[in-house]
Amino acid sequence: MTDETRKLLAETTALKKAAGEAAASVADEKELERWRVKFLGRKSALSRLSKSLSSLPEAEKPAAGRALNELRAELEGRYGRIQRQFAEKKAEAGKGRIDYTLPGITPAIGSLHPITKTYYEIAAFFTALGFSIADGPEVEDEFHNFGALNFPPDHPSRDAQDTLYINDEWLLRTHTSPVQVRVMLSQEPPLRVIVPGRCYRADAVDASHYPVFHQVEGLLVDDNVSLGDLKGTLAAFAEYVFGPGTKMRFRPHFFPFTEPSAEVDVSCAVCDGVGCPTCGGKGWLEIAGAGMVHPSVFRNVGYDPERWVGYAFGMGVERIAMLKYGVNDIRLFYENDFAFLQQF
Amino acid sequence: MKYSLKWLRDYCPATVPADRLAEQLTMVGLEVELLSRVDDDVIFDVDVVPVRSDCLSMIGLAREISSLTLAPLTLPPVYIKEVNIPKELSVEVDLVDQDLCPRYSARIVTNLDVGTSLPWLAQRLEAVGVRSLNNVVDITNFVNLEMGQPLHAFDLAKLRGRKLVIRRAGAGEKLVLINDEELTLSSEDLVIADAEGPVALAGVMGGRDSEVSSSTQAVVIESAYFDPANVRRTARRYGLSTESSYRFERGTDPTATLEAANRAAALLAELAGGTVLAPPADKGQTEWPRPAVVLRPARANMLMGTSLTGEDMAVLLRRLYFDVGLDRMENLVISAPPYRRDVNSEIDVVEEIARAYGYDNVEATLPGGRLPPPARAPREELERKMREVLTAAGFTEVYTPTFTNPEQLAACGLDPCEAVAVANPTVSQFSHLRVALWPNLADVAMRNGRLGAPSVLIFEIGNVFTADKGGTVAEHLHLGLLAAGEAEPRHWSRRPGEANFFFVKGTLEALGRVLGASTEWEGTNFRVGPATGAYRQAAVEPFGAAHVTELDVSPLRALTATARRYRPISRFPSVVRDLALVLDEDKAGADIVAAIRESNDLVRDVAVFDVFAGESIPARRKSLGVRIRYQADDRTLTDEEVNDAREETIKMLAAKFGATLRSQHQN
Repeated sequence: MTDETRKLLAETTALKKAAGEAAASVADEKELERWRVKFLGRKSALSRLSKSLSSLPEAEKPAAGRALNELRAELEGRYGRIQRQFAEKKAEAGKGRIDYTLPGITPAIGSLHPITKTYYEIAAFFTALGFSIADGPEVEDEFHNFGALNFPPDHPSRDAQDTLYINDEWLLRTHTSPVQVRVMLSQEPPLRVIVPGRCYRADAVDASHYPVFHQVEGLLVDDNVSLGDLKGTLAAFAEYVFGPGTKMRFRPHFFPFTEPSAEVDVSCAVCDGVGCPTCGGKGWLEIAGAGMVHPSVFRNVGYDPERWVGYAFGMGVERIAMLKYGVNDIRLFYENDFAFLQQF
Repeated sequence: MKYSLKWLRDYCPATVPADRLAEQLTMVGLEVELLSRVDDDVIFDVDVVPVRSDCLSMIGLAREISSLTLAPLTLPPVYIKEVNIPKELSVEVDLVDQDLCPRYSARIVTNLDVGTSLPWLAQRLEAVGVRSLNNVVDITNFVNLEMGQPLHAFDLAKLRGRKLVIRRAGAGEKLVLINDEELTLSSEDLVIADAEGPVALAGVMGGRDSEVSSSTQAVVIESAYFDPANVRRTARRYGLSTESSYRFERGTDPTATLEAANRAAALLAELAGGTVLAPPADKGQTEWPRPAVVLRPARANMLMGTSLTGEDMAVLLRRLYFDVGLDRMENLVISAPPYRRDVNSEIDVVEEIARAYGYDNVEATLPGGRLPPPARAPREELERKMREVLTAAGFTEVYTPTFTNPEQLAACGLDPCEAVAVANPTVSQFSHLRVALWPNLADVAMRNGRLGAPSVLIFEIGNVFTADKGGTVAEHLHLGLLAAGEAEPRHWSRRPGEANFFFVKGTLEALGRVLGASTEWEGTNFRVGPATGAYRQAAVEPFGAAHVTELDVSPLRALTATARRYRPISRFPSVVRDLALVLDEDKAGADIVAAIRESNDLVRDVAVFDVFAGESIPARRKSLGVRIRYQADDRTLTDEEVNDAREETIKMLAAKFGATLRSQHQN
């Protein structure tokens, strides 16, 4: 070890001792600042020693450097500790005792819209069953919204789909089912997809109708799928979303694009199926339409209906949210009062 | 449609209690929406799906009840005493357009005594909501409700030229209906005309001039099968919907027209003193053979998830009055009754079996089969990320209607001509599709502000629409962000933070960072990666101004699938140096920061921590406090290195921006 290095190390040790002694007698912030300038400032001994590091032999630089870094860290740490002590003392002196019973600062946490939350639950269930998520346009044509889904022209089955039109060619989709058609036209079975999205009906506005609403469409196509599978899927779904013990029933119904078709009811959670104003005295609440994909729909998208079978369903997200959260007026979802939104 | 239980029991004497029966009907797809007890009767209001037109009658529903309860079905016997038509009462029926009227039956009944109906008849009608008028009209309505075949009675004396011509209307021909409305007809309408002109709008409504009145002595009872689609088009053309058109557009039973005319004639003889004249008219197609449908029991079981035998299925179908045979392959060969116009293929029969077996009895299973490989959902992933960042930043998600209107657009300084109009809006403020999210967000902010919210931080993700060339409509996925009032909750222990431009800008930068995109600004326009957007202030009472950004995020969908690369992190300490720069006020802060970042390899981070002008700063100059963090990947930096780097930066800033140091900071 060269003399120079030895001297540097000795000086480092001495500096540590001197700084420690000086720190013990620092009484206020002014003195602390003087201490900082003396031991950590740009003209301090430490700074001078750091600069002299470059003139040491290469082999001895690491040890010397380490010693200097340790010293700097220690001095900076001591400076911070003393500074904090002064700050705490000052705070206590200035403000007196803290009243711990006063309210805290609640961070501004945003919330998701209840339709999003409900949709996320629906999506969680179906993605766990292997369904992927697809989407499609809200402005649709006659073919995708009706024709390909086996709605004959000039047929009363179109009455249930009070349609908002843009012009002769374009309309606002009345359901998410046109995306079924788009998916099947672009992919080969087996298929499992759900399709969330906005839909439109030419409805007047009241507590249970709104011209805008959300649906989640589901489609499963494989070579061996049954009405029992559809029932099982939706029964499990009802328990997942509305809680264990929720009962579900399938009522035969008619949709042009499924056969056999069903409307799906769940037992009313408000009255436990006895009958109450929420369920119109029926004990059941409708949440979805469903059925086995009609062979004509398969033909329309170029699937062989002898080879492929499938099921499809469409559920109203507002409807499910209303049942789940006990909301009695669909308009609340679109008014966006914070008093409403912040409950979710 | 409304059904009277008393009336139904005329045809099927099922003894099941009314509410149990309602439940059973509901569970075979004939949903009883309302059950009401009136005197000693029970009225069912049933939602009949459009393809089950066979159930739009008492006999139709009685048939279903018979199938359900196995109680017998009894149809009313029809006895007619006929007299040959005297020459002066004959009417020539000319079926010209058979494509729109495949079958036309008619009977003449004379010697009528038009008057009030017997009480039982009036009660039957009124129980299901049909007003009693006179015995002749009541009988046609009764048979319609009983059999589901709409009838029309013409006053024979008022048919000019003793002719009934079933033909398309001439364009511009006029017809005054029994509701006194005068129609100017289209050549696509089918009419019943006499020798001089239309006397009825076929399948929809009769004409005023040939209506039955108290002085009517003889009537022609029309019982026809009209083309369903054409009846629907005509009814919609004139905004009419009648008991007749409702049934015809759903499809009536073409084999039953003569039967219904006979039933009405027999009742007219019995209840209105009429004499029935023979022979009846019956034009068009009188034979309606149904093709047999082959059902493979194995396929039916696969579709339903059941294990029924072919025999089980045959039993269920026979209950529904289907004819069932077997072919050599053990398949069922099915012939549906003529009124079941909805059963034409194997899948239709499967549905009938499932309905008869009971959906409740089908075992619930989860699908097995092959799982398709999961596909990524770029829009979904993008939306979820945006929601995550924005709710964490304190923003609340809102859903506003997809619509707007010219007033709202004009008030927001947007051109209503660029918005896509809805052809048939039901609500006047929803007349156009929205072109941006922020006008609706401003409304939400105002609403909540007026309700007393001290701050409004909201966002919406949704489509906006613009008219494209060529008449198509383009959809763009937008993110709208609005901040007004206090950006942070107020607390006495600190100064309140007002929402301002920098708050929304910072929020978007955080969003960009999470999405892996850099955010760049040019004035009030900005880009987050490939997405473009703009900032504006919107006047929102009671906040004064709301800070709004709107971003077309469609191009960001692709980003979600882009993998990020890890950049090795430095294990060596960093050193911070502050610069207090003084420079001309028009120098852009972003340029200074970018230049500092480029000035030396050791610069890791640059942050502006203070901006001010005035006081000690010369006119038209400003002070910019900048904090620079230096770091190397392979060594601990010495003071010298950092100081050299700092000097280099200062020199560069002086040369490029004319910046000077306000004072030397002690370090």
